[in-house]
Amino acid sequence: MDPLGDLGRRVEDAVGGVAQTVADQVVEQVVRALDVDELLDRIDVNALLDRIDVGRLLDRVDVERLIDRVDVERLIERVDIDALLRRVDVDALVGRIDVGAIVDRVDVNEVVNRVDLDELVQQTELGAIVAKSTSGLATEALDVVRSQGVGLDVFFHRWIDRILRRHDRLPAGPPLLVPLEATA
Amino acid sequence: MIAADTIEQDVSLQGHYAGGITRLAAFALDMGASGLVYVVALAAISYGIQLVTGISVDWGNHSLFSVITLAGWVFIYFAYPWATSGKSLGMAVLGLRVVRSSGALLNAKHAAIRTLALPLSFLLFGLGLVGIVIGRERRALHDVIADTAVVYAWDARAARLRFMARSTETPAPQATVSSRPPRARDAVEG
Repeated sequence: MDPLGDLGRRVEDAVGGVAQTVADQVVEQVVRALDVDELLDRIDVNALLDRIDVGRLLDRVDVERLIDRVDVERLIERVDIDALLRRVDVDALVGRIDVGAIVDRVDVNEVVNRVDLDELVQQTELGAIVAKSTSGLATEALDVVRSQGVGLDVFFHRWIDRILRRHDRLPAGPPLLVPLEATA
Repeated sequence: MIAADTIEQDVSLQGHYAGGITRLAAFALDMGASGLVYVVALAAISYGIQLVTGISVDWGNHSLFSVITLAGWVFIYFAYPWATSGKSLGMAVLGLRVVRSSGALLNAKHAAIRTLALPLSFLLFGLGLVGIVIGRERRALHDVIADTAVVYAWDARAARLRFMARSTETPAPQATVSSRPPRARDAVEG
């Protein structure tokens, strides 16, 4: 046992407790007395920001997590689209579009194939225009003669194929004129 | 009047091997036209000679000359239009066209060969023409010799438009064509 050591520890504990209490009260008093607004006014924020390494700060930000917390729908709802569009120079925007490049990427044949010609002729004056510009008695007669000829050919050769008991599909036409799938 | 389904068939058959009926009709038309032109030309020449010299020419007494000129005229009548457009007058009327067996355009050489080989098909009671009826590619002997084929080649799509226009102008029948999209390659335009 060391009586002096014991005494020392007791005195130290007592003094430590008193010092903690005094410190708490002092800090409390200082905080109460402090005018935070005035303190902030005295801070040169720009100088403070100049000292901040923003890049390093951003590296520490978890952007994905930040985005997850953003309510995009609500954000969009708050955007005044009309006001935004009013500020857009549409002519300048259109002027920057390379129409030629867009047209180059369009498959015109595919577009034409998707046109319902029957519907087009029936819904517009196109049919009447074609009829007036190209039809005549001779043209109509030619149409009939050619069409009847084709019909007779089909009828005649269908019977020939039956007589010859030919069931396999014949080549429809020369390979350059008739696609293979039409023949096969 | 043409039926709607017939006109659809016409469009779809463009570029296909032509059948025997239309080829026979086209040939008959060609022979009639060439013969008529030949007879008219001989008559005009006779008339001219008679006007100038006062001598009446009887072509029956010049049979060799008549045969040679007729053969020459028939050769020119068929070979020239086949070489230039692939179709003679009768073929143009019936909407046919001569092409190479591959489908390529006919050139002067093959047009001349086809014309020279044409009479061979009529030998032995037209045995050379049997291929048009029973052949897989409907080629006659002269087609095989000249490496050619005959296909439908008229603007059936324009005819279809004319038909549809006439149908829309006369609203009574419901003879409108089915509303399926058109084919990519409808006609082999000559």
